[in-house]
Amino acid sequence: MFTLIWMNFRRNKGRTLLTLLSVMIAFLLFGVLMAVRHGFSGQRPESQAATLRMTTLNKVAPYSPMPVEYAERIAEVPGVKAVTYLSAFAGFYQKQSNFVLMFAVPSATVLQVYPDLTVQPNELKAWMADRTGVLVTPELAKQYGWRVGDRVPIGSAIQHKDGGTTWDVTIDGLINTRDGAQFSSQKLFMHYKYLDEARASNQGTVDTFVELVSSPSQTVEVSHAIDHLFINASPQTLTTTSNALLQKAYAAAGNVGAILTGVAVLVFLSMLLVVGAIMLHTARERLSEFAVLRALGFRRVTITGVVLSETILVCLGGGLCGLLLAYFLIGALQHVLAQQVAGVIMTGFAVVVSIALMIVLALLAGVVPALQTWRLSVRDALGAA
Amino acid sequence: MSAVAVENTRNQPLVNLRGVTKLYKRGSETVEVLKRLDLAVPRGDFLALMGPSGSGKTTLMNILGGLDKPTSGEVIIDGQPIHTLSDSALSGWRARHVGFVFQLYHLLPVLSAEQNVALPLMLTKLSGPERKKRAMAALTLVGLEDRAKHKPAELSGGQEQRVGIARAIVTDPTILLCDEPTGDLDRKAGDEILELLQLLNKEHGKTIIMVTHDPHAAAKAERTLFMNKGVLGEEPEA
Amino acid sequence: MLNLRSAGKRPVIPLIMILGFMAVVLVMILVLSLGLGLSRTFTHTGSADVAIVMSSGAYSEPESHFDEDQVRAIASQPGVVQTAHGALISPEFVTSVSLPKQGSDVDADVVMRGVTANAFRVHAQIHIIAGRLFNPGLHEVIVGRQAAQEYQDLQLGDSIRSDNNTWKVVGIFTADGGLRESEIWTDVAGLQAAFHVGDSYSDVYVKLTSPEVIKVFESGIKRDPRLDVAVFSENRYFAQIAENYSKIVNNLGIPFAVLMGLGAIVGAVNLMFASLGTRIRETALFRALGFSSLSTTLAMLLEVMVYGLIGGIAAGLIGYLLFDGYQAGTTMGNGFSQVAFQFVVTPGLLMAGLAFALIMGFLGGLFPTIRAARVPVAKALREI
Repeated sequence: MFTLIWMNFRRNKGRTLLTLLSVMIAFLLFGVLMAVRHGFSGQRPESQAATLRMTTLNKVAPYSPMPVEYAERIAEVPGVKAVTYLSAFAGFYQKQSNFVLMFAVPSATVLQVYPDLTVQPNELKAWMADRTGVLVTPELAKQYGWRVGDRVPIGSAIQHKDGGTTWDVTIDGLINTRDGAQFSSQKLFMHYKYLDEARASNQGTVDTFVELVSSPSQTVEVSHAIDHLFINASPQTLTTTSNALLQKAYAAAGNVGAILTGVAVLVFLSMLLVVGAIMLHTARERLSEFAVLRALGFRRVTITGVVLSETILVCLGGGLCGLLLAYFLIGALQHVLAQQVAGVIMTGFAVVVSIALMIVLALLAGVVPALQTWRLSVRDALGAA
Repeated sequence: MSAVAVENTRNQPLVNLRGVTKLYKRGSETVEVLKRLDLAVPRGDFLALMGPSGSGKTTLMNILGGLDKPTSGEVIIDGQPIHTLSDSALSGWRARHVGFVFQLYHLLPVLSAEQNVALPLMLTKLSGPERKKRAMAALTLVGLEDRAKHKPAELSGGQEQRVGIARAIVTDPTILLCDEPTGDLDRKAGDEILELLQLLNKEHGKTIIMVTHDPHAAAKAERTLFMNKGVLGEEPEA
Repeated sequence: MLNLRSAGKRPVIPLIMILGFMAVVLVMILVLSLGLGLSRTFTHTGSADVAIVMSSGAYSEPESHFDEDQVRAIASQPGVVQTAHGALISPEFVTSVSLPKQGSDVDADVVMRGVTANAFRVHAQIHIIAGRLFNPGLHEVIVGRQAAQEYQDLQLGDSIRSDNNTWKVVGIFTADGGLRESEIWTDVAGLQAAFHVGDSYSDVYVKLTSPEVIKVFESGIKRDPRLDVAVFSENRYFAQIAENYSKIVNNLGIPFAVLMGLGAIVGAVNLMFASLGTRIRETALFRALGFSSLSTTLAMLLEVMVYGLIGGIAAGLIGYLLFDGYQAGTTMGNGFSQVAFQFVVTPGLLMAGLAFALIMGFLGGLFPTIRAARVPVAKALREI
């Protein structure tokens, strides 16, 4: 009976509020923990396009230079629909702390392998024709206040033949990466030719090859075939799926995941104790009231149901509020952590787990009071001999 | 065998107990709290049950109210053999047929007087406004309609008990069971309660069974029976 | 103490409060010891009288590049220690190798550093504790102690396979607990050959005649047209990195612990209020017996603080046993490669945890105490 439940909440508003607050804080913490953990685990939503992509790196020292000629040989491997390459390096705009992630790519093939990159057709055309032009992500443009048509200098560590280290580029357009930030969203795409012709060392090399395969089932076969091509060359290559690569990068973040899980468990257990104790105490206080209600004719099932419902309501109510707050907090965290780790988001999975935990919490915390209520001896509680 | 047959002036006693025995286990011992007890209470009776503590009178009350079941014997109230009812069915029966008045009032502190009185009505199909109407009617009957919004903490002991009585009669139950209703009150307040009970009995025809250890209270009833060691008698045992 | 006796009778609620406080302080110790361990690794890495020279704009060592000519130019700068064997500078080539971690089948990148003989004179903290130094040209390596612990097959006698080359582990070294202990060192010529980089170096470490000399050194370098470089004092360079990373840990971890602490306080307040009825009666009794209002009120506040204290001490013990020296590794270092480090629990840290626990206890006990103090004795006694 809802009236009974409502009555009990009103009975001690302060306590109800405090208990709700406790649960809320617990799930706020929990939500944030899961999101950070997700970021560190490197798991990404498997976009259609990503499952068809493979990455080939220098086997010994990932992202170390490899000859660009490898691309032609890779393209001939059966199962490879298209191959592109990139050289990535760190750039900065005006200040060293204004980080810009630079990708030097061949315009001809990059969009074949990354169909999930979208550009306005006229901007794309302009970029194709502009040797020193670049495409930037909207986030990057927004951050530094760039507009299409601007000419900006990007500093870097790469020495030019003429001794400088700055790249003067024109913003030809905006590029959107649809598959959810793999790195930070501060990306800039320039022409490989510009990089290679201007730089003083590592000419003719790239640090990554990316291939598009015909179907996901071929990935193992194709990866072996590609690596076999260079088994006697130097450097050798290691080809993996793009997702696996990311996972490795984040597995390197190591025990962080385990630590976060440990903390989450700690939070949950202490919450369980606190809420359980409160519920127990509250139920015990009201045993005589329950006895009166039973004497008046309320059924045992009803009364026990009330006790359980209260616990569930508190846990679900507080928990959902906590998750909501966590959602906003995570949004703020994403900006703080953008450079170090991406993917700090609240996944659907996390929400489901959280709600399941709320129910588990409610049941565990409520089981003892419910049992007490069920077993209540009306006679004894009413002070009979 | 100690049985007492009570002369009844009507055809059917409202309350009829036959050979009721109640055994309790205390540790390894088994105690016989009620010994093959017979009791007949006619409609409209005002019966006082007296006896020392441990005599079993509270147990008898509990059985009459369906809060306890006899180990053997029959309990027939208004034609219904309640000793055969399941726990769940007993709850429902209790809601409709019994009104309890407790020594410690047992009002819910978070509810107002009116809400307390209306509580038993929540088990019925009446609508909110109807419940309120009936509750107010009951409160008026006990003379507390101007205290309807007050919480128990704001009422005196005597007033609380009157609310308790209002709650007991609001469903128009078959019997009123009062367990030491004046036990916690001073003489004056106690007398007011007893007068109220008499009113309910004489003018409204309510059947009342009252447990008490106070002879003064028992005197206000129609008749008195004495409990001693699980056995009912017309005389107090020496 | 008056109140603790009654707590002993009904130990459940105090126990829960203690456990709650303990959990919070434990998390706090975890965060702080992680941050401390991480920053220790960095701050033990640098020396005040060593300068690092990297190409300007390079964010990390592998991004920086020098050739032989530039290295020679650096060697002749003022401020550099000159010995009979030449300038005390250590040109190094830094790259990374992918190796499997202990207890995992996932690879992680380890720094592999090619060095000259001078490296051991410039980096004074390097000590070989097992085996011997590598011989140049024989594909031999020495492995840092932390790296040997973190990764598989990096013990004496093991072999590292990479890129048609096999490297043999001939020694284990320590570096005062600093970053270098997460690295693998070999002779630079061999490494350059293996990676086909010719005579390219990543950066140069320079031993200065004294820490103050770095300004002179720096201005000398800036004036040299052949060198477009950035100069850092070694220990300040790493201290900066350490600061950046401990900022992250602290910016995330401390608010988290504080929020958790808030949760513990709310829980404590809730529990205290719940058992308030009993306590009010007890304190009223004491007051009736003649104990002053103040002392009975304070007793309640102290009670909760004691729970906090116990929780804090328990957390300190567990935290120390569990976390101190805990071996961990993470990608905080030169770009993508791993840094192995250990959690560090210091007495100062434990004190901080204890203080936090006491604060939680104080705040948790404050409100119920104020509430209890307001109840007049007579009313409280009536409810007994």
